[in-house]
Amino acid sequence: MILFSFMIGFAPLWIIGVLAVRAMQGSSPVLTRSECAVYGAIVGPTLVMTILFLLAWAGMPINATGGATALSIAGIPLLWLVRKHLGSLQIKQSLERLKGMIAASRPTVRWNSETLLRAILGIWILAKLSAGSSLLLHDPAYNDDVFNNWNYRAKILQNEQRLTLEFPYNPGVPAGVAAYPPTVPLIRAWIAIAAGGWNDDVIGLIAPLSYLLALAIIFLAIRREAEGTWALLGLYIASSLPLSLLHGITPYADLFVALHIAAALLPIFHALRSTDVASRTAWLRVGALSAALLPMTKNEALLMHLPIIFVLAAGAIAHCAHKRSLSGHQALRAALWYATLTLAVLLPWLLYKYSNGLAFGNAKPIDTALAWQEGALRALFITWVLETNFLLLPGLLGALLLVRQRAAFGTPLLVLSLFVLGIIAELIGIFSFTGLSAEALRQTGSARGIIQIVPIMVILATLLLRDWWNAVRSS
Amino acid sequence: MPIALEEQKTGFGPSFFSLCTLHISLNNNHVSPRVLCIIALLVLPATARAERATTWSFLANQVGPEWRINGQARTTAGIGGLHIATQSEVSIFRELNAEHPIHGVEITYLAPEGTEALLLWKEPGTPQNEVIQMPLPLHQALVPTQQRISIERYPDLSSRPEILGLRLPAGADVQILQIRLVGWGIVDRLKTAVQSFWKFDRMSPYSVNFLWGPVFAANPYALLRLFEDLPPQGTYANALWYKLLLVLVVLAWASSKWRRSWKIPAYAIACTVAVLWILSDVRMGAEIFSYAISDSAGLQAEDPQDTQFRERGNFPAFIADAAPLVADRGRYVFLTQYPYPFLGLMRYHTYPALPVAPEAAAEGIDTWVVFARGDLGIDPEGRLTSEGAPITAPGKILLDFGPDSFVFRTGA
Repeated sequence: MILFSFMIGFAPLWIIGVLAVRAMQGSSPVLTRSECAVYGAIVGPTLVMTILFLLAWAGMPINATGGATALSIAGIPLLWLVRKHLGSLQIKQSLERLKGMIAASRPTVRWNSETLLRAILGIWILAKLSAGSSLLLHDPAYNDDVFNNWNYRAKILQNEQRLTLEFPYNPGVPAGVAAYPPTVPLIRAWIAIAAGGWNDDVIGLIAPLSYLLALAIIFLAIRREAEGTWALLGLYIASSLPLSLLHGITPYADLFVALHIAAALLPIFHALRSTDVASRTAWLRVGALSAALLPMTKNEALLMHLPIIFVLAAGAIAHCAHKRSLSGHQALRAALWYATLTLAVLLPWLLYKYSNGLAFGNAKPIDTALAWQEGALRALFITWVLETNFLLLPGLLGALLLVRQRAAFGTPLLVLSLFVLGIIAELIGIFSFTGLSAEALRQTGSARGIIQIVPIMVILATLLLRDWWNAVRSS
Repeated sequence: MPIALEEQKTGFGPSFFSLCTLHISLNNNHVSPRVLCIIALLVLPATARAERATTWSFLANQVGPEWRINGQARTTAGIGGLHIATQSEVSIFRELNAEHPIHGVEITYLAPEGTEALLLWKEPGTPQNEVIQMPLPLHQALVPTQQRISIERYPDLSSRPEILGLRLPAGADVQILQIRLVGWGIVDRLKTAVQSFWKFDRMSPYSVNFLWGPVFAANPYALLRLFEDLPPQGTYANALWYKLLLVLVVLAWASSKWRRSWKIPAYAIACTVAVLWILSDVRMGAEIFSYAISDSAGLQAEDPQDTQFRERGNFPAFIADAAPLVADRGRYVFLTQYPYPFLGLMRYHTYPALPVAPEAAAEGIDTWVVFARGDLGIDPEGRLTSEGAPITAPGKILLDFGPDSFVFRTGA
């Protein structure tokens, strides 16, 4: 029943997301159905809520009518675009193919070692997630940022039916939380509206859904590059990280950011790995859409993640143009997609921020006074490496980046490697030279910075591990 | 009166079983790692393996002349131990020449009320007035109770103090039965390491930001308080795993030079990483299960007042009962001893009804929600009182949730 109530609100957002991803691919679909479903579930809610935010800013109430309007504004042109690109015939063919696939997928389980491995892995992941979900259901609003920020803001939006930066009677609420983009609370408010009222258990399902989407995008990204066993290994690595699991049962927003980062960065990597121009440009358009929505997740996405993704996208486009795998015209069009979509989302948001005097930091404003912060680097090392938040992933990835330098920096994996190193450098810089060092010393924010890039770290580590393994076997 | 000084040695000796194993293995004409381990255990001095303890008993009037006391106190050496009732801050201490290293101190005591004592420790060769003081809270104990402290929590200290004692604040009333000084050997430490790896933290508000993960405690006393004193005192398992892997990489590199192949060393490294990874995953997965089990156990109680939810006690049960009573009030006064996190939780769960400070009661607010405030009560006239003084007009209790938590409405 909880799941059904959740899906009433989430399903339309998901459909819009799938349509958007499908429309961005144009007449040359490159994403598999599973990838379409996962990317759609990531970008759909953010896309619709960005529109709802604009509507609400223009005075439309945040209620069922407002939500339905936002869905229509997004859905109608997207449907038209998808029909235009695919044509009704192709849609029919797709449906026929789907029926064939369903018929062919009648259970014919053959037990071999890989099936057994999958079964054990599946049971272990489900068991941990079930244990975690029981924690979630005991008190979905247990954590500070849930009851003082994300869910509380969502309740206010749902109740007042308008954008508001006021927190009624707010002792304990950090002053800067109103500066967060409204997307996360809007999604929760919309799900509550669609479900007919606020229910913590229903809203809490956001967390396990984000966790499962993160596992899925990791599996699918590796599966595209390597054999199923490696994709399973990547899935296992991701599912074994304890702090990620904790975020999979806590309705925070860091996994949400992680999903958008993956959806923005992986298409650049896949574009570089594509063998034909149509696929390459399709991937870049999907990446442009995800990158454009990234600033609507959390403030750090605008300041920390988006600039690096832009640099990497620009580098990838320039590289393709240089190698003549994209013509000058195609490269320019790809760059224009990035610029147009990002400006379309970013300009109104920045205007809203400036007009309301909102800061660009998160709960705390950005500290521009730079000074070396004693002990912060040591605290980061303890949180990232010595504690078991990410098991041995930081060490493993560091070692692989050293021993597989050619694969890490001489192939399209460069995109992922530079992103991970760039973000870690930014985090070290922020925590070691600004007043935000308190977050590192108290361990309140430093591990969450890594949570946001965990999917990329896992994909990179798994693909480098595969490269190393193949090199060892052939030696 | 002489102090009873007895030394206990416990732990492993070369058992018949291990000797048999050695004999059988040597007959195979090769020296296996197993044999090497057994030989290593045998040649280790017994002191390195066994727990060694020095016990100072105060029972049956046993208080020797080596004990000195500074400060004003009424001391009575009796059959049940040394009773100390302090009028001022008091130090009781003695010199010692320990025959074994001291890694932990255990005090057996009785105390009608808790007191914040300090363990006094003077390092050899340091100036006379340079005495290190370590917090040693003596909680209320109406039956003989042990308080233990791991000296290894303070890595700069040697394990052989010159002077050892206690400092008690003024007004303390403590009966000391026994002080035990313990030194541990390798076997105790290995056993502690295994136990501490499987000791779990509790689900806490900080768990979403970081998880301590497995930590190897240095000794059994440190293990007892592993996740009680934060940060936990010990060695992170990951630190050990990384060191182990570093050694393995160096060995693999050396081996590859010798064998002219990387294959087997690489497989060895991969297998070790896999084993450590799975071990850590199982450990952390088990911790998540322990959270779920602990939550379920805490919420089993039939009476909502008896439920125990993590560090928040019965507050979730209280809020479930109290929230409907304020749903139609718009605003209500909320009073608690712990504004964080209860004020935020109350505000969240009752929104759009909002908790306000008591000063706003003059604005026509009639409902008072009180959680964990023992100083508030209802007087015979039906008024809410704070430390006996009335602070509201007469009213009625709408929800009685134990001695210090209730919902009260004026004029009801």
